[in-house]
Amino acid sequence: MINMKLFKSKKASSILMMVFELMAVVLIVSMLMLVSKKLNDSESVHKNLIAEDLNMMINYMASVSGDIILKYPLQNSSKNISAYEIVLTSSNVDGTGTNDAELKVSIGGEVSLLDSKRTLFLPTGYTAIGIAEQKERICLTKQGKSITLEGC
Amino acid sequence: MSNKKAQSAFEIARKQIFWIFMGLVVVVAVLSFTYIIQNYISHLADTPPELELQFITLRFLENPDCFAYQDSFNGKVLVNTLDINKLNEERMDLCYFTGESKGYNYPNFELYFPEINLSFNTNEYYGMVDHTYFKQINIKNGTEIYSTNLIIYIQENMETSRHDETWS
Repeated sequence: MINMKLFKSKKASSILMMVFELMAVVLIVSMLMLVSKKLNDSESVHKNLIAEDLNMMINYMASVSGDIILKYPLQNSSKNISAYEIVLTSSNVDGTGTNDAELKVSIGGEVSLLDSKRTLFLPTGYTAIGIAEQKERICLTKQGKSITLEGC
Repeated sequence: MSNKKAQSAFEIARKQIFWIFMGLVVVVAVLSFTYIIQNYISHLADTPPELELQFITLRFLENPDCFAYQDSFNGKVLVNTLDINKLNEERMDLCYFTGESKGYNYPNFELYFPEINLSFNTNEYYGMVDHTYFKQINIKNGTEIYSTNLIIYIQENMETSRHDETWS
């Protein structure tokens, strides 16, 4: 049974207010630490690096006149991409849309504000599609005007 | 006695107002903190823009779906040799088109051939030059091939700060 007199006492309410303030401070500090920990992990940097590398590889493929296969990462590279889901979508799958494609790198397919996205502009008639879920290595293949991304 | 009660009530009300205000300040602080860190992380892995721009500009010189000359008999593409019949804005739109909305936030290009006084550009190019790229190329005009200069003006992103860099 809570003694209601406790709340009426000035000293008790002051202590309660202090406890509440301390809890609020602890909550704020832990919230900031959680946010900074989530944002400052190396995953985000890795995602950006992978997206940046693939963006340049696809742009290069759009420049080459013949067919080509590019593997990523290199055979002896220490880079590990198996934790990520890489999705390449094109607006021009049926040949009637615009020429832009979107490259998205995420962790385990989770939708997050920290997903790395890149927009690519390909020559008319080109398509770029594919998905690689948690693969150790991916292959970008250009055949004619079609660029595909898959695990290999 | 009533004065003391009023003082105590005022004290509690003041603290409540303070915490409501602090709550708002904390929410704004956390959101700004998230934005700053996110922005920092996204730029941490930035590659030099010239590298990406080189890969994009390569298509103008090497892809027959852009301006590169392709022999109609054997299909062979002459790298670094441009077809005079392809050098126009319609072809540029087929080669590189950034879309109508917000296309200015992406790289846009102007190709200028000083010797033949010819220039054309991509759809969202507004002359805000960030980089200038000089290249010696060949032009195929009928049976004739001649060497000429190509200047590629690059507008990297209308929202970023301007700086003019020349590279070749």
